[in-house]
Amino acid sequence: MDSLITQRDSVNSWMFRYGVRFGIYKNGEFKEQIFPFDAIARKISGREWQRLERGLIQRVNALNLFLNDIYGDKKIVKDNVVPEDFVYSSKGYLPFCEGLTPPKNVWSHISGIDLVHGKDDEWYILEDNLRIPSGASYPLIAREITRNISPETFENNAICDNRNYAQLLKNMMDYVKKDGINVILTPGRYNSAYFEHSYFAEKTGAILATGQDLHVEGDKLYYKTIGGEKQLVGVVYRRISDEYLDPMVFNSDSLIGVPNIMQVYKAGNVAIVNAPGNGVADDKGIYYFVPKMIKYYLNEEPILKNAPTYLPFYEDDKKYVLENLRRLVIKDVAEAGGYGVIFCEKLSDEKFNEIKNLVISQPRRWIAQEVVDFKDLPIFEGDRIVERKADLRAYVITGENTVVWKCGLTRFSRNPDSFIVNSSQGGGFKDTWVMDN
Amino acid sequence: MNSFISTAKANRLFWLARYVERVFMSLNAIRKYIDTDIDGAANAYREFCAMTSIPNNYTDAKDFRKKILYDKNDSSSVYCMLINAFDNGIELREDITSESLSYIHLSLEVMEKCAAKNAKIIELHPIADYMMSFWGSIDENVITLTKMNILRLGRRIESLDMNLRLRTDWDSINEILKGGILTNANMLPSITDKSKILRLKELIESHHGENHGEDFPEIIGCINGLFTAKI
Repeated sequence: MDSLITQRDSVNSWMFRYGVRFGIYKNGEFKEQIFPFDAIARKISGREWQRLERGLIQRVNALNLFLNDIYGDKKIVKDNVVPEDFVYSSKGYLPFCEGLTPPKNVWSHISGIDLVHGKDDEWYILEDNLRIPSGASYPLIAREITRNISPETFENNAICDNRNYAQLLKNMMDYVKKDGINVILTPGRYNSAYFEHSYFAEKTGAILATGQDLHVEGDKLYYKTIGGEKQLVGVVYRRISDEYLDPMVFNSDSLIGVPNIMQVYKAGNVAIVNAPGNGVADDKGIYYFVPKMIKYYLNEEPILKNAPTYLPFYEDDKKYVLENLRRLVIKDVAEAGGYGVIFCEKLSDEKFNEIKNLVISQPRRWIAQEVVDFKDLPIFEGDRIVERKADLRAYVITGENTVVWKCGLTRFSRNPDSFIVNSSQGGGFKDTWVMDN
Repeated sequence: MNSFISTAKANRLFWLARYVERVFMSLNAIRKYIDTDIDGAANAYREFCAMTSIPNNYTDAKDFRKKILYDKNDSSSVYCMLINAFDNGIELREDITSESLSYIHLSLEVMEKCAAKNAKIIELHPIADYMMSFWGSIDENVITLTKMNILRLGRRIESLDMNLRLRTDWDSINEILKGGILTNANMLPSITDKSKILRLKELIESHHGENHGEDFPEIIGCINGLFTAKI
């Protein structure tokens, strides 16, 4: 890895050349920033990866079954495994999707599962992202650049090839699609992940479209081409959240969606990737129940652990949480992107009491977790190496089969006192090397 | 690479090509006037402004040098043209490929650095190189005929527009028209105005070897109204 490290500045300049950036709004103004890349890759041994792979496939399969059940028979609720409060009060639950079955019965086609590696050598799942998980493009393009900058690194180390991500996406889209072409639906260039939308369109051969390029006629979806011609659309990999997807069904103010696309979906004439309504399964409150889902649907023991989690909704848990609040981390279930995460040990007495009262008065709004003491990873800060907190987002693709991409996005905090690794909060990223041994 | 294209993307491809060509041709033309201003005819830049229909808001040759290259708020500046090329290109990655787009990123990087220090025009030369590389990459990577025709049409229309303004010889102008624009436009019947193409041909042929003076506004009007795909 030495030759790669000595050429780390070149990597960032090549990323600049290819426009590898993410957008961010600051004080109402859109700015594009580079996502700082650190050349010291995270290594995961082949044996360790095999276990992770099995655990991730198991988890995503259970989550897909859960979504199918929740919008269908609701057996898991009827059997009191998951309380209905946590399902129907979730912001991600969409009544419109009741009774709908997506093409090929796949709900979460692309799942971004966030994990941390504890100092006890155990991997813990922190979060399931089943709506529009982003970020895979960064390690994909970083690998392409680093491979060319330092070929000897990849010749001399048995690192699993990660080139196949776009092919995995394309295979999945081809598998679930109805008659018609493949489209990636973007809100436009001022979206924070626009680079990724356009990059995946290029790599998968799909058309990158905005809502204005698509229209519904009858119960079919079309892409408008020059000269008034139209192309039938078979699958939409949408990078627009549920609430903005169809102004006729969800947020009527949305200018970025496609009016009546949900009618086409309901008629079974287009696949939407990921399926609308998935938010009910990646709600932070539902996270608590995923190990129970695995047992319920698959009759298997969960291979990967959740971080120890408590639901103040349950009286026993609430009692525990209130007694131990100082050392716990509290998460607002409605927040994402690293927001709404509160480390109680750092709070002033006044703020601490405020949070405590909120936990008492709005128990459904919060989950509480033990602070997982996860491993630090080495990163470059200037010319010296320092240790920083890092997580791993693994990408699980479900089409005909469920497969885990042999790579992942390792995000790290650049702040020595922080556990928050999100790019929107200043974090950087590393490549993730799955070793072929 | 997909072969379908929306009207909005067709428009962006066309303007991407025009702005890339405009950057390239403007840099070459401005370099000549700046060179003349060094020790030749005083205030040669005024002629450039008149020929290219740029409002002469410059106080002197020095002010012209700085603003025509680096004032990104001046729509006539090369910096502004490059931003316009980028604004179109960024929405076309999957159509033109990351490699082609990278040459615009690289050009912007050079422009930002040079603008920060009000560099001499010679330091902008890598941009002209990148623009040529951009076209090489387009030729290599864009395999869809419709997209390629739109790009070539945009490039040739811009070239014709600039050459007419800069009083290039009529043989060259005729070549651009007959050899390129007519061929490309005929391949894009649904997004080009046939009557304008024919009129343009007629106007240019009727002025073979002569000054086009009084017909100039109509010629320019035909050129700029020829492509009809609008966002």
